[in-house]
Amino acid sequence: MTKGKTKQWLVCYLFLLPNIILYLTVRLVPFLSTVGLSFTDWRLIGSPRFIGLKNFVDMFNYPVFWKALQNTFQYALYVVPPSIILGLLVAVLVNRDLPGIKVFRALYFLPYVTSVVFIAIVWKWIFAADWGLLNDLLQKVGLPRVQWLSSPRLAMLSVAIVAIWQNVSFNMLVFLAGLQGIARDVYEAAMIDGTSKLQSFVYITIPLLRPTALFAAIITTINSFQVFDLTYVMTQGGPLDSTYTLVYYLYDYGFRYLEMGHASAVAMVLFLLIFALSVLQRRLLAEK
Amino acid sequence: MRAVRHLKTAFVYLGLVLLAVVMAGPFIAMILVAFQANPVVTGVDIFNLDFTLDNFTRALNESRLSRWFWNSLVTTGVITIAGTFFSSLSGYVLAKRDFPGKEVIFWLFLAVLMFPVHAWIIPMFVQMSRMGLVNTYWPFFLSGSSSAFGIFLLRQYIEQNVVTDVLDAARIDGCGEFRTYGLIVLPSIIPGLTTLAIFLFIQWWGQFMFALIMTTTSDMFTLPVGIAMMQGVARGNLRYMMATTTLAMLPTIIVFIFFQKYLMRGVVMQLD
Repeated sequence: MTKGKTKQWLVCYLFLLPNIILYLTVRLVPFLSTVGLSFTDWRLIGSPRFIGLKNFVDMFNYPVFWKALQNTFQYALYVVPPSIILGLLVAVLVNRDLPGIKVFRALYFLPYVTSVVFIAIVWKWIFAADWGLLNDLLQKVGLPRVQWLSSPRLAMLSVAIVAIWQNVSFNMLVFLAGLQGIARDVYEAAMIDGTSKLQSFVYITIPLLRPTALFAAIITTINSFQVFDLTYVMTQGGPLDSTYTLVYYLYDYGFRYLEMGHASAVAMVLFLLIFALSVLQRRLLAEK
Repeated sequence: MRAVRHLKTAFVYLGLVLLAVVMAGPFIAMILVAFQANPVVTGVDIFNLDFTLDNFTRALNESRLSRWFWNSLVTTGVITIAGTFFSSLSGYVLAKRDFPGKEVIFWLFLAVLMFPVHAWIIPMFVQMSRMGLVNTYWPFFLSGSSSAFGIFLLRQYIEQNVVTDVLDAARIDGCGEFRTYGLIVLPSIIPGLTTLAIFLFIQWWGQFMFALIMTTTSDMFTLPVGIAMMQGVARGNLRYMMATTTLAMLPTIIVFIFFQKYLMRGVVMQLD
């Protein structure tokens, strides 16, 4: 009996083997190496030299790090609230039984599905100052041309608009699932009590959607902290570093200047930020 | 009363259409430009409809687009198949079997789910270049074939859709673990497998930073890297760039059209 059991267990491990091997070799070990490397000076030549916290001290002394950190937070601030609010509003709009509603839902979901790089190329044209689609349309209706991507003041906002456009697409679906999870009799009871549609939205729908909103907000924030594809294609971090973010900083140090130790330290800062957010999410969701 | 209701419906449709212009407009504009026969002088030109396929032939002939397409297809294809297969193996035993260390392994997977690309890419790049694997498909296969999201998705799907009694009955009849998996589990979780496969496909077709780091020669670029490197969105070559981008998006759009239902379900499953 015990022999049979051991054999059964071995079969179970066999099922898990591909994932375990891959995770140890391409995730866990590299992750732990990143932690280790963040305390070293290493430019790919020779072996890493232990320097304690110097990478972190250096980083906190570089103005460009603070610029990148500030830009990252600014970007998240531009992107997250509109993505959540608009996502909810669009979900409310499509949460009804009308002929053709599924086609609209599908169209709104398209931005989320397409790759960021391809989308960024199209938006780069839309935002182009002298020959872009948006400025030409603005001019047609008598409005002035805007330096969407070439003004340091506006570039981050323009990039954020693309991100909002893409995030609304995802959040719409998340909220739609949330809305459809609310039992209909809750509203019926409210109607009998003489509540108006707007009242029941504010006092019933929104509180019941709190966990959904929290999920959407944290996911959107975590993704925003890691913005790279959009800025790489649309602005290359410019103009004047106005769209230079943390992942861009990491990419430059690790893969342009080949300062692996410093880049790993940046990775740790980013990781801790995201980790803190995930913990916060678990805490807040557990409260419910 | 009836008229009011009709008016309301009309407003809803107006809202839906306006929103569709915002959400799908960039795609429509891209496609219109891609088919233009004449150079686009200003953005407004796209409303003078021309029709030619020249931009697409030029896109295919004048860049390494077909090579990049192939690279994307191979990497994404292998990842999609291997990732779905491996996730179903792990998902099955995590959902239905008991063995020592189950909890620990489950937590290991949970932890991995939290490591974003930048938290492991630096040592992985170093390791890959030492082994001479940069500019091969191997970093993609190794990194993509394991999906923590997939393990969770399928574990949950198997828990909900495979009846434990049937598995027990099969075992009593002397059906081995691998045959049980192949003959009973797999056939009953096809929708779950499809959902995961589509997610993996979409995720890796668009994967950028990873591919940018792991490929350095233009021969090995995937589509997103190749197109980002072209960087030539300029007035003169707009038609051609938009044709290139349209071709690059095509597989995703086809998958989207045919498997939209699974995709939406996948998003919803993440919520539980």
